[in-house]
Amino acid sequence: MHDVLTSIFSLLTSYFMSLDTSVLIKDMLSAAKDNLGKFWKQAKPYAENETMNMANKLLMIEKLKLQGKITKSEAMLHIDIQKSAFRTVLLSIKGLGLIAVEDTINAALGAIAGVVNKAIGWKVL
Amino acid sequence: MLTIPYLQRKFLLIFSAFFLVLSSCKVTLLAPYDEITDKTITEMQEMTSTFFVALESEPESAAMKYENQKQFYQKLKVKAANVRIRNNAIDKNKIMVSMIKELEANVGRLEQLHKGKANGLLIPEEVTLLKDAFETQYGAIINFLMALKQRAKSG
Repeated sequence: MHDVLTSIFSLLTSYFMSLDTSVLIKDMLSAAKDNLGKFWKQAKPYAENETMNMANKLLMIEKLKLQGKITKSEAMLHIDIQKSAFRTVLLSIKGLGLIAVEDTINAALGAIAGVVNKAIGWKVL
Repeated sequence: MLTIPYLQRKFLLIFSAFFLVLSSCKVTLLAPYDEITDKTITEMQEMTSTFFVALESEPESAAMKYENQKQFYQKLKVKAANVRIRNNAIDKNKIMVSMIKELEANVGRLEQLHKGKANGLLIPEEVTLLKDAFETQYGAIINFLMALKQRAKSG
């Protein structure tokens, strides 16, 4: 997971001094899609929303830096904070996906339990 | 002394293993809901929100200077370390541990930013950015905890 995120954020760093939001969002979404794999379909609306938020916050950081309100090292700390928050969102999406997978497997096992128990003669499932 | 022939013993072993697998057939991919984690994260979230609200309402107050907020950072870092150590000890808990580590790192970065200010105060634009980031981060963790809680209820 962190390899893909590293690539997302190296992209962000390269865009940082001349942000093109639409390109940035597109690239971030593409990396998030790769990262989330089979959970992408259910996570898409949430991930899209968070990606837009992240892009807007990066624009704000760039603006503060250009206005001289924060230093370069402060800007980098702000970016790291936003990156970490974004990573937490992706982790949460992944966790929610795993709960859904677990539910699906257990529902399938539950569905066949009656048949298996009856065939074996005692309750094994 | 009763001895079991080799093939029968092998069959018994395989049958026992098969039975054990089937009888514990509820699949769990993640650690169960942990109430103490939930309570600690909620406390951390409340402390952080209180800090940001105070910064928003009195951005230039001497009380909000880094020197006067050291205790806030210390308490927050202790809570983060405690909850990380607890969650590290729980099996199948990689996602929660990773989320807590991200949060812990951000608390450190927030302190670093605040500490580095010449006048000891974060500017309002920064507070907006930081508040949003922490709300997003706590929100994601609490969302996951709620789902684990729901799973525990329905399981």
